[in-house]
Amino acid sequence: MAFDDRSPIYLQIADGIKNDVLSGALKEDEQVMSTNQYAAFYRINPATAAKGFAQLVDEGVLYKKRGIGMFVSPDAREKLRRERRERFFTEVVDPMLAEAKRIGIEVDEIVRHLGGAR
Amino acid sequence: MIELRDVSVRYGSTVAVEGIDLDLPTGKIYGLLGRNGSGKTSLLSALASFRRPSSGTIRVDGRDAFENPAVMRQTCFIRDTLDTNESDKVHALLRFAGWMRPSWDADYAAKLLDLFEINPRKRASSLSRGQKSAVGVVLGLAARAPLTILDETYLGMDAVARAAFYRELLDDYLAHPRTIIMSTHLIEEVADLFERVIIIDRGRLLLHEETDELRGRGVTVTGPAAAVDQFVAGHTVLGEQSLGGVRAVTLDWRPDPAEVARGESAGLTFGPVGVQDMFIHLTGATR
Amino acid sequence: MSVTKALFRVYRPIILPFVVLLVVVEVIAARAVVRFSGVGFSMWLVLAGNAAKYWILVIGIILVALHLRQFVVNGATRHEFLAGVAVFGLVLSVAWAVAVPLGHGIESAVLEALGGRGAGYPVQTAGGALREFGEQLPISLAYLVSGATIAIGFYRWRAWIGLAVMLAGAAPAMLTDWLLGYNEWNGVPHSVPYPAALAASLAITGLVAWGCHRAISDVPIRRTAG
Repeated sequence: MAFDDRSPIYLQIADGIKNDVLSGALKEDEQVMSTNQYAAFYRINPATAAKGFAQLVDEGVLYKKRGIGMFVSPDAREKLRRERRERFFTEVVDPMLAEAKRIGIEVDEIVRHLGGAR
Repeated sequence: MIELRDVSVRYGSTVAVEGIDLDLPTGKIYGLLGRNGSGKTSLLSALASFRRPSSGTIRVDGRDAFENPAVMRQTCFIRDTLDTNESDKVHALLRFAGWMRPSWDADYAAKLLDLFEINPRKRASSLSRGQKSAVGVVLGLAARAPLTILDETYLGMDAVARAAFYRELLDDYLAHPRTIIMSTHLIEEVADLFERVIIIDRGRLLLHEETDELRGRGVTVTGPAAAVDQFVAGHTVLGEQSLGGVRAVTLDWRPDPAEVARGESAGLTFGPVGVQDMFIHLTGATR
Repeated sequence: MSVTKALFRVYRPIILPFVVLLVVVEVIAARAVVRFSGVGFSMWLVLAGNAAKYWILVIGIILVALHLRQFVVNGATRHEFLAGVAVFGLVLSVAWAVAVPLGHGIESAVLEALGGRGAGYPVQTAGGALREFGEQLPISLAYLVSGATIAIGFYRWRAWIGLAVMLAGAAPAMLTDWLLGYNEWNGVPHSVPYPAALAASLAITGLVAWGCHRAISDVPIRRTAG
């Protein structure tokens, strides 16, 4: 199974495509697979795929060209980056700090470690 | 639209199915889940007009289903035990279906027979359990009936055959959209194919919703027993397990991110609940 | 394809060889008897007469025991099945009702030509042929309906009720035999004159057929065991 059965698959689909846009695997204004192709490829129900795509259209990541198909929005990458940036500190850094606190790692240790990565 | 209104199926004094109300928009793949003896097959028999419901009505596109030629001709019901006379040969079964079913695809049937490695010259009586199921799948898919009902058709099929079945089912559904209702016990294997899930328990309808809704519905909270108890207070508990001082409780509820953060800082961990686990919790004996 | 047409397609490989077999047996048996004494009775009336009854009885049973489910599972309604069976059954009955006097006539002529007609042989006449037709048709219809009714008794209900239905179902066959049956000399004296006998036979056959129709029109289609 390409997807985790334990959370809504349409959200996993949306996340997967967003990751592809961010990484550059899907370029702006590039056409994406049709929902049927997607469904056949990942072995899922096409309505689930369509829901994932609809979510992305709602969020402005994809747009639809009537009669042709779905395309990546021209500003999708920037938009996603900004979104992720905003969430980075609350969703990634803060939990990391909470874990560090739980196991007794000082912030200075973390800063030293980060210094090496620069 | 397939409409079931207050459908009951009784065998003498035994009630198999009671008071079922369902609206099923056509063109979707439905998964029908239920424990053994929950009334699944009785419900499907009534839906396919193999049995008249003891009470209630079943309408397909506004027409009463029972003994309606237009409805029955468009309905194909494949059961776990192949409906055939023992002496019939496989090719004769397919040929007869071709005579009677308007949308029968003989080439597709031959291709499927090949795929499942069934010798068409064999008699039904000499087929193994899995081969009988495979023939059932061939009959069900090649008929291309607008309402196709598959009742545990996978029984006896090995993992390779089942994978082929699911693949063919999806591919043919994509090419020829129709209403497919599948009942199964192997929930984890097939859940991805279902657009909607219907759960029957002890003859009654438990739920009918989009599969993804079911996936997003529950959570398992694990941690120190006292913290868990405090956190889960007021929510519907579907199941719980304790080992030493650790408790894991499954809830019919999804916490928002703030609540998750609150719980995690109290030492709790959260895990999602898949379709099969939800099913087990909702229909399990201990309730 | 209609139910009637499908039934004929299914039975094509059964009917033709059976008829051929019947004719072959007739020829062999008649020759053997001619050898020794000359035929003093109609072999054909015996063979075909019994075949017409018992073969069609079995067909009636099999139609319900095997074919009902086969047709409904493939999308026909029970009523469509019953209508198709009615036409199919009528055609078979008429075919037998024609085959019996026809075969008798051929046998009669051939035996005369070969000089093998013994004393007492029931020579075929036009009137005789008509009477044979008029007797065989209701007999075949009755046996077909009896077969179907016996089968639905056991298919729909449990053993004891099935037994009761079977006894009721046998009525058309038994009564028609008594009213209209013939033997190898086509000389059974009947207690009831033909018009009344025919009416009575058709009435009982019709009544039982109606009951059979009611029993089948909403019968649940059960699975085979395991």
